[in-house]
Amino acid sequence: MRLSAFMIGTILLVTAFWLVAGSGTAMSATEALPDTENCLFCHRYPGMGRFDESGAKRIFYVNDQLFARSNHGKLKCTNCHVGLDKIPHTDVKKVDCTTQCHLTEPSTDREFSHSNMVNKYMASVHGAGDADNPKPFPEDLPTCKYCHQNKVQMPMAGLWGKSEALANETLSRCVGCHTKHPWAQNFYLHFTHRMRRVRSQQEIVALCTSCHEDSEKMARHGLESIATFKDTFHWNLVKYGVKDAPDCISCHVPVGYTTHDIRPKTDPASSINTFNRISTCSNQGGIQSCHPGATAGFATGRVHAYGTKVQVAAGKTNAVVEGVDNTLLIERAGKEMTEEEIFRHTVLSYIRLFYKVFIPLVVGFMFYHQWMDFLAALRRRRKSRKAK
Amino acid sequence: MEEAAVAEKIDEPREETLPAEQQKLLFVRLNKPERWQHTVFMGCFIVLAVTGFMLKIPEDIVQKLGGFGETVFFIRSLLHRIAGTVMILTAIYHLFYLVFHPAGRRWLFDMLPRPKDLFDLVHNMLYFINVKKEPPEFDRFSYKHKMEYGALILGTTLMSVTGLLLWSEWRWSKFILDISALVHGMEAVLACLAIIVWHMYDIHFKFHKSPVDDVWITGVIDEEEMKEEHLLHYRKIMADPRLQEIYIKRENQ
Amino acid sequence: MKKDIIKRVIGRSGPGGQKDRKPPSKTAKLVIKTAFVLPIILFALWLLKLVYFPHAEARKHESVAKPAAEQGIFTQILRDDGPIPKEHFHIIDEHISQAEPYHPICLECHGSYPHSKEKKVRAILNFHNGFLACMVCHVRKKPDDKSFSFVWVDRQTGATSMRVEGGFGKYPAKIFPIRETAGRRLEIIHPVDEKAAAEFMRLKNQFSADQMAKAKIKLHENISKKPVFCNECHKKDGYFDFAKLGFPGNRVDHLTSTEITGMIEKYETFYMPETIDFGSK
Repeated sequence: MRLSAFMIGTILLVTAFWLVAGSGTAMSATEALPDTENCLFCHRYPGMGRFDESGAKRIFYVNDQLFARSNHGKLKCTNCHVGLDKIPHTDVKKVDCTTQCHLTEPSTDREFSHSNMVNKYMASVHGAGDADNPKPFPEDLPTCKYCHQNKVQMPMAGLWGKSEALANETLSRCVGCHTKHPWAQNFYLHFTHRMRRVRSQQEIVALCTSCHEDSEKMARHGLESIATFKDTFHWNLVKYGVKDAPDCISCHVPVGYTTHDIRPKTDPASSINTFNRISTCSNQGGIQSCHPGATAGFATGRVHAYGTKVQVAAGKTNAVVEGVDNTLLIERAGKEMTEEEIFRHTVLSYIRLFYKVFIPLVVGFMFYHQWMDFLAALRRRRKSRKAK
Repeated sequence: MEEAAVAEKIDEPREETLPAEQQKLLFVRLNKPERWQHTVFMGCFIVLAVTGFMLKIPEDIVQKLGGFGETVFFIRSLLHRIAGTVMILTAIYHLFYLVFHPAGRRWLFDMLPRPKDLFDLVHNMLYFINVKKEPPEFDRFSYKHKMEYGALILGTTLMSVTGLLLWSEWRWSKFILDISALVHGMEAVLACLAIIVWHMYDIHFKFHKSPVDDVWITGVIDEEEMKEEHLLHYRKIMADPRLQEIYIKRENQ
Repeated sequence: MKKDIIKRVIGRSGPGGQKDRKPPSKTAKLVIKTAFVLPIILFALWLLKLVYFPHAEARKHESVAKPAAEQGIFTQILRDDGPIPKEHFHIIDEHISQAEPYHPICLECHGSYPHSKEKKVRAILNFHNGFLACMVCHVRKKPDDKSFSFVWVDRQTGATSMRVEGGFGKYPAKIFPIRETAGRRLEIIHPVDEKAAAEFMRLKNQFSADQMAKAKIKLHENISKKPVFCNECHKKDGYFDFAKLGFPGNRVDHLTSTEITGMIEKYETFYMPETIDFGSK
């Protein structure tokens, strides 16, 4: 399923307004920051926006109250939108998340920046690679904003019911020593926000599949569509909204790994590398132990249903995606699909084929038999009526 | 005895209007344990089919459950396992019944396939296309019953084995589990379609069984139906007092 | 009582037992049968679909996500979704996505961001669209026209009032110009009346290029050649009486202060070439 922007908007909106509407003592102390740069002079008007030269819709409206409650709520606009000092903003540059944003990072006392994460990310499967080894089609790769929107921070209150009591009680312990209440509250918000997942399992699947189900985009990078995830039992749990259901990151980023550093299967640092599989399936160290007794045979098997790659490896050349350069896909299929995988896939497809032939034969015979029986019964009834 | 006497009294007016009915015989098709087995098995089958195919309901429909989804899924999983267990236990009981119960042994003997079944099938097909004027004469179980029973035994075995494998998944190779999941799903489709086309027709759609055949509750059919559908067995019973003892139940007994 | 029990035990299948009950009519039987059979048949068909077309749903989504290169950019635009663009970083509230049943008819063609020509000010002009109807600026009042005034019109209901709750562009209503007719009735000014607009929309696919040009001129004939310019309102005692529409005094002062007028002047001096004539001079 494609992640619709409208959906994100609605989700943001609902969470935002739940928070605004439900804000009590714990929340109400956070007010909109003083707008020292006076950006809101214009940017608080909801209709502010335009279509840019590429035809994309740009919304320049910022809700200051919601912004103040967001992850970035303590920052000034120009901390990220660097160098904006002319009106109209003819000198606008794209926001760079590695910018040092003049906040002090408490553990190092240095200026805060996301460069750590960005560097890790660039080296991961989703990164654009480096100068020596650039990835093809870098425009396909997700940038920060593809996954990250500026979320409203969700306090702990939402974790155990909607009661604000917990937040109040915890905070009252903090402010004994940390006398600056807004600081303590911000810390609390940040901390408790980080303790929970921001996206539900369904939202994670929707986010990942918004690219990974696009078979053409995937083929360009030598990957197959992961629509086959939806053939697994894992997906059924996600579909029904079961708590702690296994979504993409449950296996690809289990405890001890980070989303920004997802590695290819062949990398020993990958959670789905053969040697890490047992630990990943049992989710060692996690809140929920998924398959605690997982054996090697269980854990090293294929989790997604077999897709394009195994078919290509098995010699079905028509399985490739039409209209795209498939060389990478074919190359990787040959490298990654072992004889055993091909054998397993072949056996499974023969079983499927058997049923696809067997079911219509059996049911077809049954249908024919009963239909003829029905006609014979009709004939018999007519005859007996005539006899009367 | 007393009850029978009362019943006779009450039924008096009907006997007057229908004097011929008085001697009407009822033929036992299913005895009590068999009826119980059928009922339990049927219940399990319905529960298993519903809770099983719930996994295949498209995403947008499931999403309408909203917050109830998790509870629904939990109940679904629990019911599926309970019904599966009960079905397996019923199947095991049935095996014991076949061996250790005299009625079970008769059942097994009558159910064994014979060359006559093949001839009956051909005969019946010819009757369908009006080549033969009369349908074949069936014994206690016709080829239709035998085929269905065979399919039931095979299907239950496959479903039970694959189901149990999936239930204890962490012990097995993923390949075995993949095969199990595939077979479990396909066999389920086959079973449901077979039940709908083969079984439902026999009990719901035939003229004299509308809206539903109630032999699964009463266990008996009347003489007319017996003659029509199991003529050979009828003759055998009428010729053998020992069989009459087993298979005939008078209306007021 | 006893008879019932006995009947329940043995009498069910006997033909005698059935004769006691009233047999259901033919139609009733048919209805019962259909109600029973139809869901079963649908279920059976669904099972077959599961075996032979297991990914029908997934394919539906896939075709939507096809890249622009194959679809043509306009097909893509047709499929573009929602009021909020993809990868928008800042939090959006309901002011962006709220439906507005009562809106100036102009927006049906010109969209929610109608200003696009004046690159330096278009975003600023567009936010006025949030609380001003197009005709406030694009239908100019004659200097001595006493019957012409302004009113708040509710976005949802179209009800008029002289003051509303809200501030900084977030109001439940929009300002529309209004005219007092000869019969002392107040009438909202629509430069393009609804009937004409509806007729145009109906016929627009049939117009030839020349007819279209003509139709567009006709459609817009009541639009003033020169719109009301920024500093005509944003000045003391300007085109528009803020106080009359319920703006508090300090807000009126702000809207007509040098902070705003100064910025407008700066725009005029530095960013608007003389060739672009806003009709102010």
